[in-house]
Amino acid sequence: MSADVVLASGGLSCHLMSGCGFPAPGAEIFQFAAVWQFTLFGVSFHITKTTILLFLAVVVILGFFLYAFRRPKLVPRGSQNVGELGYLFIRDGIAREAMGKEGDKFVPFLFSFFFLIWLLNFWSIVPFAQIPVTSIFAIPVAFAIIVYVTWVPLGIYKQGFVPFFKNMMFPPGVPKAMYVLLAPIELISNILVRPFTHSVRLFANMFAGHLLIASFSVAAFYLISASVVGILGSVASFTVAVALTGFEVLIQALQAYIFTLLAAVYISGALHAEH
Amino acid sequence: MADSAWTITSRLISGLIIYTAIGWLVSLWVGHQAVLMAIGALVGLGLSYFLIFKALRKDDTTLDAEEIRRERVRQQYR
Repeated sequence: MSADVVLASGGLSCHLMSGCGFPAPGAEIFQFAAVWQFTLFGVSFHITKTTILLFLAVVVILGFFLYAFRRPKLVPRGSQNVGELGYLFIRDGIAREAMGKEGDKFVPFLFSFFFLIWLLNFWSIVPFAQIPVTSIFAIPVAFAIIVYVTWVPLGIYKQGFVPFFKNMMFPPGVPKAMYVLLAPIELISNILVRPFTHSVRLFANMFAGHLLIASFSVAAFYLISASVVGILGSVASFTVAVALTGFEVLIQALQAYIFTLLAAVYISGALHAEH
Repeated sequence: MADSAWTITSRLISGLIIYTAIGWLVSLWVGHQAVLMAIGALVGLGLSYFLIFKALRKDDTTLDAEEIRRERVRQQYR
């Protein structure tokens, strides 16, 4: 789709008629050369396109909400209306849905996550940006770790160290004799696998979506030629690429929602023992 | 719980990992690595399914009870 995708996958020279095979885009379309690099306290930092987009997302979100609530009025108009709609969606649709009234304390936390992830996903279809930042695995991992170090200490603080792990390891509704076999599964599933699946769910969806759009866009370019197969294939690929772009818009919002909802559900599980 | 759908994946993965690991550990002791790891994987998956079904059944019954309670309240105020 973007120029860097076409260039990364063999350049403009590779074409149906030029004899080289289809330059299928791979993991290399998620890697960008460092725009600027420096060393600080022995750690080398590489500022790439994705880093810039990450910072830009923070600036855009901060800018929008500061602008929207610069002079809050009782009867909201314009951008304040949009901002309040977003706030109410997080509060009523996610926080109160998962935790009840208690969830109000966690609205800022969930709110930041939802809008940051949504915008980071949304870069995927913004011209010239065209890379979902969340498809770089380190980003969802960092988010999942933030959620993890929130709900685990919170659970230990609210329920006590031993009851927290006891509630986690012994789910109700299971025959007592089976606990010896099932308790380790529950412990590993909650402590180790949960943050892993939490991050992979977001990463894999954005990674696969971007790869799909890139593949069909490269195919649309690659197939253009003065032959029936070429024209039909190119048109079909282009149509699919456009349709997938529309589909991605849906997936982006959905994945941001799911990540935030799961964060809320984990926090809710830490506040109260399940059932 | 709202997260019952989301715990299925992690329960399946962790059941598989733990019991395959146990099979491997036992094989360090008595040999037959391939056989014991395969048995461990199957046992782990079986236990994960058991756990998932039991936990979901529990969720189902609590939901039903809640629904019944609400219906009772509704009839009182009719």
